[in-house]
Amino acid sequence: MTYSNNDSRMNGKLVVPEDRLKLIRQLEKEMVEERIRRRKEKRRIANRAAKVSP
Amino acid sequence: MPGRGTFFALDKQRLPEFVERLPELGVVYVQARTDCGGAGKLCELTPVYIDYESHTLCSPAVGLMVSLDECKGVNATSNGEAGSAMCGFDFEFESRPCGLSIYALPLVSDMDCYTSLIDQFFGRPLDREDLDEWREGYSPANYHCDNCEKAGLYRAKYPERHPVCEIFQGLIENQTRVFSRLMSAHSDLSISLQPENIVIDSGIVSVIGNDSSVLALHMHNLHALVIKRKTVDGSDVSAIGIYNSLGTKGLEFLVEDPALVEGWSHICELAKTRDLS
Repeated sequence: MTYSNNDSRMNGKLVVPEDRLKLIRQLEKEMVEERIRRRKEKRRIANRAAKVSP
Repeated sequence: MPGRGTFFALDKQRLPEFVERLPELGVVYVQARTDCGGAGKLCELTPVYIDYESHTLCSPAVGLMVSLDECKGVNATSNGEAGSAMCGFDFEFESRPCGLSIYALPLVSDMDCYTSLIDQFFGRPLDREDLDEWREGYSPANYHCDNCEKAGLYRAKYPERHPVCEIFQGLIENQTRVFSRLMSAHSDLSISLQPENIVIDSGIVSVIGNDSSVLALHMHNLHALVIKRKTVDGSDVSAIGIYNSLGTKGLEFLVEDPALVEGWSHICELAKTRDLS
């Protein structure tokens, strides 16, 4: 259960200002890129480990 | 000792050495503050040690942790009159008024030790104006958007209409013990109190315990309550998390009765209906 007396949350759709929305989109993009980079790195390490292990 | 209301600054390089001497003060009043509120209690800071890996001051028996890396400085206050209050060390962090204070109380603390710590670790007295100017540099701008600010002003104007007051009123009536934890990037303080009274003043709701512990809720910044059942050390508890408008949890209250969640949620539902009408 979450309670807040903030009217914008309770009365209707939350409106995010355009500049903040832009920033959020940018952060989301960076997070996805970072996730892909980490996944590639993990795969690279796993491949290398597979070559090294007997 | 210098005159009334004199301030001193600690040489930050000597911070670890200074904090390890704090137990010598005996009984002190420890108060931690975040933007959502504060918590304070009378205790002995013993044992106290520094975890040099995380650079943190820890006092497990007290439930206190302070990040020495985040600490921007320590200022000492002295009013120079034996028997008068408010001699203390203010640990200053970014985002004032968040911080931690350790007060030496004339009737219970070792005031000679307090004076001796100031003499040994603190430099020449500071001008109040210089101190205020220094602190101003660590005071963040208001982070609320227009809607949050509006809701915050309403909470500060009518604190008694907020469900948190009704919830604590119930805990007082039922003499229920509350475990609370104040958490922030710079400090962490746990207190256990049996609420005895609520005092509302200037947008701050203070819950007074029956043993000198105090919880203060800064209603302007108390953006949201999250009520849920939790399992702590194998026992089910009712928990209330207090969040600011950035979604950061500043305080948490735990009560060893999982059934209270329903009642608290009902109080919040009623408040929502009231807010919308």
